[in-house]
Amino acid sequence: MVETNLFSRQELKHFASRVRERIIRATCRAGVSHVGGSLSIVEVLTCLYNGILDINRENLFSRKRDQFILSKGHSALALYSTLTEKGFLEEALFEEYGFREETILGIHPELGVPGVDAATGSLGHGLAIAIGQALAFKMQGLDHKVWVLTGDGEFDEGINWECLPVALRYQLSNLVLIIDRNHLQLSGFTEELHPLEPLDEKLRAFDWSVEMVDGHDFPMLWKLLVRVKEYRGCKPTVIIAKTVKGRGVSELENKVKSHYCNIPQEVAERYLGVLADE
Amino acid sequence: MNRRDAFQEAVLELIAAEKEMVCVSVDSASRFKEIKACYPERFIECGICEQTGMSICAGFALQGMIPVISGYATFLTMRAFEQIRTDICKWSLNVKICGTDTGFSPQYAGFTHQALEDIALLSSLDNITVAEACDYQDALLMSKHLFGEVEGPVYLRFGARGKEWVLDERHRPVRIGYFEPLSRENFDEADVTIIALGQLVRVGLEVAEVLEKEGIKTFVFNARFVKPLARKMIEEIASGSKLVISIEEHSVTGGLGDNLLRAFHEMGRVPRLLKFGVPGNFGISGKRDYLLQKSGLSVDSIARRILNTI
Repeated sequence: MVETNLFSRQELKHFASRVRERIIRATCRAGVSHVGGSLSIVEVLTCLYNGILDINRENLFSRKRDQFILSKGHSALALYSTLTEKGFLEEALFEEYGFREETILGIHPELGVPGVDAATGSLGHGLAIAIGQALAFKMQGLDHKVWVLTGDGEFDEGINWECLPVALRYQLSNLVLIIDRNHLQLSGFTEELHPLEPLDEKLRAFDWSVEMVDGHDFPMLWKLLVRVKEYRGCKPTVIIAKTVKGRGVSELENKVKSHYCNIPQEVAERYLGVLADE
Repeated sequence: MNRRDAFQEAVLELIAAEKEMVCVSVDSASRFKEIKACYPERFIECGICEQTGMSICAGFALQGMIPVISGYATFLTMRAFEQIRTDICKWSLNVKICGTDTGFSPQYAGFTHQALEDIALLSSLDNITVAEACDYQDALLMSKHLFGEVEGPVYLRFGARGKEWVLDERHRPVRIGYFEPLSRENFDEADVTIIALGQLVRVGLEVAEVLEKEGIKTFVFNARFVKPLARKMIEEIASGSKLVISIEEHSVTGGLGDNLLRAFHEMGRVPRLLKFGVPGNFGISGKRDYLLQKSGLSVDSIARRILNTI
């Protein structure tokens, strides 16, 4: 059983603030990043890495633990920030982001980075890889789960829809898909570019277990993730996490430009001051 | 027996030997019929979803299993090319890809189903082994070796269902990157070194017969591998051959011939080379023998061109 009170709301909030601070600092240092989509998944990653995933320093390099795939690989800065905050990535390595001529810490996560379980960047690969891992766990009799986080725009890629019946057919109750539903993709709003709604109804029609949650509300998010972690039924689970792209920096919130941009120095400094007070 | 039966047999043996094999079908279950019957838990059906199937293989391989995926070579290598490149080859994942119905073997199914550029595509990727056996026994040896002994991505080509040609002799053990010699001991005694791939090894041997009758000494290799090509062997062929012939049921662009040429070029010694393959990458509907003949891949046509060159 997961101790539901393992982390207090305050501790999670502080952790998330430090992750946001890292994202903002690294963006300023690099001059640019996929900052919007990184900021929208901070709370989700904070929960996952603070008690939901069975990952720790001892099993970091093992495949026999819960797996996490950041299928929206362009948001790797959020993952690197989380992994560094956990102490899984060394501070010196994190400082390389966007700064060295050559680094293993690219815009998109690659295998070889401690804590990165699958290399992503080309959208639409993560869910199918996760299905392979979840099937392997079942065949090997291992009771681990595979968690995969995709973007909502990423669901334009047809392969995701191919995957849904496969996971259901093999009753992958050990597979959890989280969709970062921030309603924005590279060049505009999802509903204007390639409409997805009603997304929950579509996913229910594929007979997955569908959950919806505010992706920034720690009490709700934590409660749901604990329940999903404990789930041992026969369906794969999808969580639609309703989020705001650029969350935490009002100049970027719900803005198309936040997909890949810099944060002006004065804006960054203001936010870093605010986050430090939290 | 057919080459496709051989890879299934190899997988059955490896499962019995407690290798963590798993078979991935993309509505291509006929290739895994026996495995499905004997070990249903080792069989996964993905439906007509080559990209999904390929990335699922990557997931299996990440967890230490040995996935074998099989389906039409055209769809596996083209529709799922990015998954092969990005999810599998970049990380040298232990995925075994068995492309079937290569070359003209789909016959009347036409250009959509005839794989004439699969070698060109996959041999452009680092870390993958690209190979084709010439008959059932050869396919058995190669599948056992490449699935059971070799870690890393492998692409093996196979033809259609049905009866296939079989070599009379026993095959030699498989060494990765090495061609299998089928005739005289020393090829530097030969006037023509014939390197044929897959089902066209039969054509290579028959061309050799025609040339021998004309007093021309030949040496025939069953290529087995397009990638990698063992440097030592390539050096010996480059320095010991008067004329090298490559024969393949694949586009003349990017196949065995081009890979050989590049290997010769890289070592700075390029022997005379005649490449025999399909002139373009788009096939047409028709009987395989007719299409081979139309492409200049009949025994007569190849022999005539060689005789004109010598």
